[in-house]
Amino acid sequence: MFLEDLSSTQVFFDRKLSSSSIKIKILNKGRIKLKKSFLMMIMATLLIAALVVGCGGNTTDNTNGAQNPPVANGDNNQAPSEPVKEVFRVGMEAGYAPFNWTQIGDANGAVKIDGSPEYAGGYDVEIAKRIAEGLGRELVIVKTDWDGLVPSLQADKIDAIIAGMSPTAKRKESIDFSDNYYKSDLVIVVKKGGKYDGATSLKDFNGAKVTAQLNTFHYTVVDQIEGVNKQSAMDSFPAMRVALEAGMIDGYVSERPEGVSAEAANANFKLIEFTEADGFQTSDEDTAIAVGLAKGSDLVGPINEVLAGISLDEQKEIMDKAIENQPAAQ
Amino acid sequence: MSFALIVDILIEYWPMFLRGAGKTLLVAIVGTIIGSIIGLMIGVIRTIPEPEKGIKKHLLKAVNMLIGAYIEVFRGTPMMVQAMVIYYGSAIALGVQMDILDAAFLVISINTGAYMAEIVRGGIISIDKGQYEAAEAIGMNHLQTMVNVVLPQAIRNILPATGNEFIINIKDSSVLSVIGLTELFYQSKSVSGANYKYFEVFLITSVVYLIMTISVTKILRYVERRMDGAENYDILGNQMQVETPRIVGQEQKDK
Repeated sequence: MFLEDLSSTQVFFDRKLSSSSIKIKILNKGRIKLKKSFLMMIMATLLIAALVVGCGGNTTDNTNGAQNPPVANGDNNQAPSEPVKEVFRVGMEAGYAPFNWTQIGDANGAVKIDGSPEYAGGYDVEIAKRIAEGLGRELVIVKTDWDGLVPSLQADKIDAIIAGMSPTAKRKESIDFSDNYYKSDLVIVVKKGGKYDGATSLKDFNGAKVTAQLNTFHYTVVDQIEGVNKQSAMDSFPAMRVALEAGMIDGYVSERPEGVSAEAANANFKLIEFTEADGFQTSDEDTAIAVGLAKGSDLVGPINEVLAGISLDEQKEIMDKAIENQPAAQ
Repeated sequence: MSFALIVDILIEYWPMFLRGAGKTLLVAIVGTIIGSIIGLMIGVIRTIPEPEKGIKKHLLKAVNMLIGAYIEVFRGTPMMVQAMVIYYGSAIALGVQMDILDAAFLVISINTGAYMAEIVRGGIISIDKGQYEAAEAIGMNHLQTMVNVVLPQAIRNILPATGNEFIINIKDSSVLSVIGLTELFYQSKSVSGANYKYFEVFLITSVVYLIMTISVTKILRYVERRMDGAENYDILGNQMQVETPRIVGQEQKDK
């Protein structure tokens, strides 16, 4: 660009100011170029800023990595005076409020996410804190995609899954579970004022386009609705909520805490609850959630001991607090 | 949806968006650079003229077969699947614990390398045969010919395609969220998972992606122009030529 400008000037001089119109043209061209390069500079600055910030986050990644074996991690992180504390690496999506979510600050007892300056909060985090305390280990939250949770556990990248995961028979084939730490009812979230607002029984969903999250039992129970127009499963709750808002589906199957939160956060959503007879027939292993552990893990016993110390009332209390504290509610 | 809501989300979550964008950019840059180097090396190897006999011939054949397999495998499977296999597979099957970021670099690099190998091959083929013959005539071997004669021209020719790869990498790094890389898409999923404002969050995300890709396009265009060198001397000459007759005429009259 600079070269072009220079040569324009050359042309300009070669002509010895012979024509004033040419001069104006050249000057105008220069001005347009100046504007363009200014725009480019802004863009380049933004790019560099993003890169610098990204690299900054990345250094914490390497020094702080939960991937390191626990002992090495302790060596790297702690001041020499502190005793080396074994870490308890917990995997969660940090995107499934009110069970777990991501937030900027450490408000409401949120825990820092490993390798990231952000924090994780929610019901799962509160439970994880208690378990870590009971085990006498230091809690490390490892943000992991839902589909990456089980492989991460098998690959020893995390010690436990505390992510609102139900101990289904199929999952039990690949991983072990602790006792339940929460039990919730299945609901359907529909559009407020829509065709299915006011439904009371599964029968009312005849012909409705219903879906649920991929690889969850929520998706399996969709078949219990007679005459349902079962849609292909979606990979996350955000995706289903968008689909519902956009009218691509009539409703999605969810658990009560998620439904309450969705309804509270978005005025367009309506939560449909069922009585036991009219709702989904589920087994305990489906509606309950438990801590996922590697096959044959020796943590099952100690974790169950901690969980036994949390009463049902206490569970409800923690959950209500989580629903209240979640970012969308504020 | 309202504009005020978007501003609110930006004020609260801008560090998450920026950090996500930074990581996306970092992975895309590293992937494109290492991928291009892999592509260049493969391109040079694949264009070695086949020796007529001996061990060398079979060796070259074996290497070419390996390279062919590499390209087929990594170009023929989705990057998301590669990420799952490499990141979790290395830990489950081989017991190697990889850092998420290292795994991301590895996956995107070898994936880009497979595409770049073909792009580089195309670039090398595009160079006129006479150039090879000339290089051979002054006694250059294959590597010298490549480094001194062919690649400088080929690189200029493949630059637009490389820019394409770069932009694809910026966008496709989003699939690396499956291994927990907190790049822009994963960060956006987290933000929307927390505040339930999907449309607004992903509108911001798409603008951030656009800023990145447009910037990269502009920068690469600039690099291309610099590599082309000054084209202006031509224009200068032409303009003088156009004007010459009249001036010459005047001069003749003056004389």
